[in-house]
Order: sequence, then structure tokens, then C-alpha cells
Amino acid sequence: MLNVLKAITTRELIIAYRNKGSWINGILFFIIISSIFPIILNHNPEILSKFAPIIIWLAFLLGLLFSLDAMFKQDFDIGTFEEYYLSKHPFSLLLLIKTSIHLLIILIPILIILPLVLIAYDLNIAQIWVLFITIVLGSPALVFIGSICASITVGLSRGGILLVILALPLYIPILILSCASFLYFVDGHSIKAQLALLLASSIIAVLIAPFLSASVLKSGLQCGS
Amino acid sequence: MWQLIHKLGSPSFFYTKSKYFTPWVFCGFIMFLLIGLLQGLYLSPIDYQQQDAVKIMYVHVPSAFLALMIYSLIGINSILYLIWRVKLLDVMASVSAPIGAGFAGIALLTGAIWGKPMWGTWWIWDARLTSTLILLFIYFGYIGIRSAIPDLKLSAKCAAIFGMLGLVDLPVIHYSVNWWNTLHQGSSVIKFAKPDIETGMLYPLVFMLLAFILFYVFLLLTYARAELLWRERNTAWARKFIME
Repeated sequence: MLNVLKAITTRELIIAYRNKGSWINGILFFIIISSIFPIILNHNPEILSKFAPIIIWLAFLLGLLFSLDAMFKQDFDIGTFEEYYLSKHPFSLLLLIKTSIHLLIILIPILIILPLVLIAYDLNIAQIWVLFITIVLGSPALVFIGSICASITVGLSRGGILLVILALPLYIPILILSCASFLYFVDGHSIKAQLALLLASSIIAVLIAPFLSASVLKSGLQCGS
Repeated sequence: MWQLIHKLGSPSFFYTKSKYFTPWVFCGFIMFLLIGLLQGLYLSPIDYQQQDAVKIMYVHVPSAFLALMIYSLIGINSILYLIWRVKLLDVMASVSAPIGAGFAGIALLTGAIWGKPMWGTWWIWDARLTSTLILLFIYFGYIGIRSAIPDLKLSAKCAAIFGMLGLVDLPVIHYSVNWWNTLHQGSSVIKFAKPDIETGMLYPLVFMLLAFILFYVFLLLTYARAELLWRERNTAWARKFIME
């Protein structure tokens, strides 16, 4: 089992290393979106510090949706998933590993540049930490729920828009929880409950999503070949 | 028992039996609609505050109820389809989705028309309005899957999984939106706590609700029959019907 983990991790990391555009574009997208908002909001610090979580989350979310569209596409087209399907290990487990590594590849660069971006938003250190924690706790739910939708749209030539339409309504509770916990924190309340709920939804998504996307991808493979 | 279920799930059995069933459903719909409209528009008391505008309720409430009911049915259908792979369930779910989206649209539209004279605004980001809007988006996603994937089996499976996901997520969305709004705007939200409804208003509402449900069943049967005949057009029983 460790062999599999190691093999898939190495493969994904090599692909990410050789194909830097796939994740650097995501970071650039995040930086551009989050710096366009201060420009069009007339750099009013009051509005900016209030809307910071919403803007950051939207920039993160949209970048994530684009990367989700690409996440399964290549592997589906060149037949990696057929290999996964035929291997002796459960397909859902392999998908779980693959999706987790994808999550780390997009999450870590964003977390590194997040403090730099947030300086422009006039937030203090504690607020930056809260935003940091909500992104860390919420992003597994986003990526794994999105992976189900991505497996539905993977065979389509123009699945990107459909992916956005499918995924965004399902994301609403997580968006609300994370933005609300930031505003709660600014008002001086305890936000343990919201963070616990975020973590809970992430855990549930991680536990359930690989089975569902594996079952959809299996049918897709059978139908395609 | 199992044989009965198996028989009910067979397309040709459904097609032949529903033929006799459909006109009666339509008659029931017309009857309840006439009773409901007569009672609602002429005989029901006028709200002392809202006056005649309260009569929008007789369309608004049933369509909002049906939008939710149809989605729940689609979700349950999806789960049953994923377990037993009954083709008929998939046909039912696929033709239900546009109808449900239509009802959700009607609910939002009549709600806006009702809201303008009552609250002074077409739209507020109230919890119920927001979750109905999101329900409409989920319907769009569901219909989008159906229309984007050409292969019938694959689209059935994808739609079923998304339908199930939506069924689980809808209550979560509703409660999160509800909680967020009470947190966020509290007193500024125009309260529309349910007034204790009077029997004079309740009866026409119940009749309209029954009429809407029968209308849905009528549409469901009609569309499902057409869809079934189209999907099974290469089988012997369908050929026989088409020849007739």
C-alpha cells in the first residue's frame, strides 16, 4: 500500500514539476483577482478589510474550479484511469491519493503567498490567521466535492462551465461558514463552532467523495471504450 | 411482492397501464383547480392587511411546495436507481427535472410579484428565497448533466449521483443560509412569520395544492410515456405501439 502511495505521489509531483503552468497559472489567477478588487473598490480600507474574506475565498474558489477541470482530464484521456481501474488496488483509494496530492499542490503555494496578498487588505495578524485556518480547513471539502463534479464532466469537451454550475451551489454552506467565521471573529466572538463544522464537512467530503467519483469514472471508462 | 415491483418497473407494463390512468389524473386536476380557484378568488376572506394581494398565495405556496417535493422525489429516485437500476425510475427523474425547475421559477416569480406590494421590494436575501434560488440552480445543474452527456446510461448514472448529492446538500444549504441571515441582518429582515391561517384560506390552499400535485403527476406521466417510447423505440413492444 505504501508503494502505491509513493508511486502516485512521485508521479503527480513529477508532472507538476515538469508542467509548471498548471499550478503557476492558478497562483497568478489568485494574485490578479485579489488585487483587482482593491483597485475597483477604490482602495477604501474600511470596505476592503470587511470584504477581504469574501474576495479571497472567491479568488481561491474560482482558481480551484479551473484546476479541478484539468485534474482528471489528462488522466482520463491518456488512459491512466484504465490502469488504475485494472490494478489490484481499489480505484477509490487511488483517487483519494491523487486528489489529496492535487489539493496539496494547489493549496501550499496559495498559503505561502496569502500573507503577502493580505497585507494589501489592511488586516492584522490575528485576522490573517483566521483566514488561513478557514482556508486550510475548508479546502479539502471544496476539492473533494469538486472532484465528484469533475468526474461527471471529465468526458465532455466543454465541461468547464458545467463544472462551475454543478459545484458552486454545493459549495454554498462552506463559503458561508468560512466567511461567517471571519466576521464573527472580527466582532470578537468565539469561532470554534464554525471551525469545527468546516472541519466536519471536510472530513465527510474526504470520506465519501472518492467512492462516488470512482463509480462515475468507472462508468465513464466503460462507456468510452 | 418482488414480481409486482419487477412488473411495475417494466417499460411496456407502465406504458400500457398509464394510458388509462392519465386522463383521470387530468380530470382530477381540472376539478380541483376549478374548486380551488372558485374558493380562492371569490369565496375566501380577504386579508385585513394584504387585501387582494393575498390571493397570489394560492399559486405561490403550491408551486414552492412542489418545487421542493419534486426535487426530493428526484433524489429518492436517484438513490433507488443507483441501487436497483430500474430504467423507469431514471425516466421519471429525467422528465421531472424540467417540471420542477419550472415550479421553482414560478414560485420565485410569484414571490417577487407578491413581495413588491407587501414588502416594498421585489427581492430580499431572505433564507427561504435564497434557498429556493439555489434549488433552481441545482435543477439547472441536473438538467445540464442530462443534456450534456449523450450516452443514456452514463448520463443516468451521473445525474443520479448528482441528484443524490443535491438531496443531501439541500437541507444543509437551507440551514446554513437561514443561520447566516439571522446572524447577519436580524432585525432588518422583513419578518414574514406564518400567520395562523384561517380555515377560509386553508381549504382553497389545500385544493390548489392537490390540483398542482395532480398537474405534476399528469405532466410526469405524459412526458415519461413519450420519453419511454423514444428510448425503447427499437424494442418489439414499442414498435407495436408506434405502428398502431
